[in-house]
Amino acid sequence: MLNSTLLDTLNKAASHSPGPLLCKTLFFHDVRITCQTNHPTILDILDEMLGIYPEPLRVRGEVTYSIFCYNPASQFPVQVPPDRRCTEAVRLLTRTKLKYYLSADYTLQYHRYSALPLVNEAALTVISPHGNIGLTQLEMPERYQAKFLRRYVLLIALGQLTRPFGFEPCHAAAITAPWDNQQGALIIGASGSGKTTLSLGCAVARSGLLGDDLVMLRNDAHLINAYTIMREVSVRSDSLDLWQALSFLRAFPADDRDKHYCTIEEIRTGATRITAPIRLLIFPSLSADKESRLTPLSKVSTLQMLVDECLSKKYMYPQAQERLFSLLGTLSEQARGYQLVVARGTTDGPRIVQTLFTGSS
Amino acid sequence: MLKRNGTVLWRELDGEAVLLDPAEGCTYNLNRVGTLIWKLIDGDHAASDIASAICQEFEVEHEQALQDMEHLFDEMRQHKLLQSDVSSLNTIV
Repeated sequence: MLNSTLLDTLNKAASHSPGPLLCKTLFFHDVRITCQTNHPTILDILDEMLGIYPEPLRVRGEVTYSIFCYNPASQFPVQVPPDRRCTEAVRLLTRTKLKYYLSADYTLQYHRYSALPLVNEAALTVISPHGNIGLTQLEMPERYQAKFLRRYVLLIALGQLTRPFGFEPCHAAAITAPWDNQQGALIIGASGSGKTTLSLGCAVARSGLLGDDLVMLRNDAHLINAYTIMREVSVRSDSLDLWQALSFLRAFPADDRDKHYCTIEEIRTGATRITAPIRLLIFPSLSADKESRLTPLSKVSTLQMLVDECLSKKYMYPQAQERLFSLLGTLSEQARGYQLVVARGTTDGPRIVQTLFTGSS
Repeated sequence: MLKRNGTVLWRELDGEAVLLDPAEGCTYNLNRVGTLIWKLIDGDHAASDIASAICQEFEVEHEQALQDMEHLFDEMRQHKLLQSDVSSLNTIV
């Protein structure tokens, strides 16, 4: 019933969309994503984001994701209903306002983006997590910053759409041991904690890199694996001062937050790893001390830090909270936790992290 | 009988429990004694039974165990970790 209502809505949206309908089947790891849009540029962006995932041997599930473009936003066939419930309002790093809503019966999620000149126009995503259907409506996509569209609109929608298949988004970097891509480490911390600098330093020191800021986690038969969701990384200029091997990125244009954007492949040629089991959990912070310090954490402290970073401040459905708490508990049992206080301006962080992997000399 | 607040998520790791109150976003850490008490406040155990269980596991007198439990329950009530229809330990001893 729910699916048919949404499908009707989608068909309505498709029939009202200007331009021909373009379709492509892509994958996010083992989830098949049937994409449809009325804008060729959007299809290119989706292809760029999802084209890195090969067709899996076994498809675990299927979702339909439609992106339709209209001008102006008042023509969006689907609007946030009046009896909705606002669950969260955030200001993104670009300063765009994003509001999350739930339908009165809790079955649909809405992500509404306010227009911000030079960054984005209005957008509205509606997701049926249990119906495996998502729809994003965009106003004048040519006026969007491409990375805004990728990171804040499409990625968030895809993250929500793949949740029913066990994926949980995690604000963390993920690396692997240079000598064993079956040993993964999550580097977890808020913006400014040094996780990107540390993960890129590890990549320079031959670690695999699954993501520098956001990865997906999934419990696969009692083993928590990290999965790449985004091959794009962003590097601040001061990180380039630390890692000489990345100095070529100075030639890449920087945004207004002094971040240079590139791909994992550009940082480490041939890095194709997109999943790894997690064996280490690193919680970095920067300090004015002269030397970096590593402190092992008990399992209880590890779980508390994981919950603080990943769960406690977020609004979620009660069932989703329970599921994520269970996943973090399993992760605390599976992986060893460490607090790493990195002396600002030093380059010893990656060496310290890599000595924690099994088999290090 | 005392009972845990059913909305509180918890996990035992190495004998110690981490509690998460999803509504408040707060986490709590219980030591081994607190974890044993937490596991037994399931609505089926009276406080005296729980105190006896503590005395069996740890070196403590029954009266002392009851006093310590009273303090813990006070804190748990403050943080809404217990079911709200239970008012006092005295009612169930």
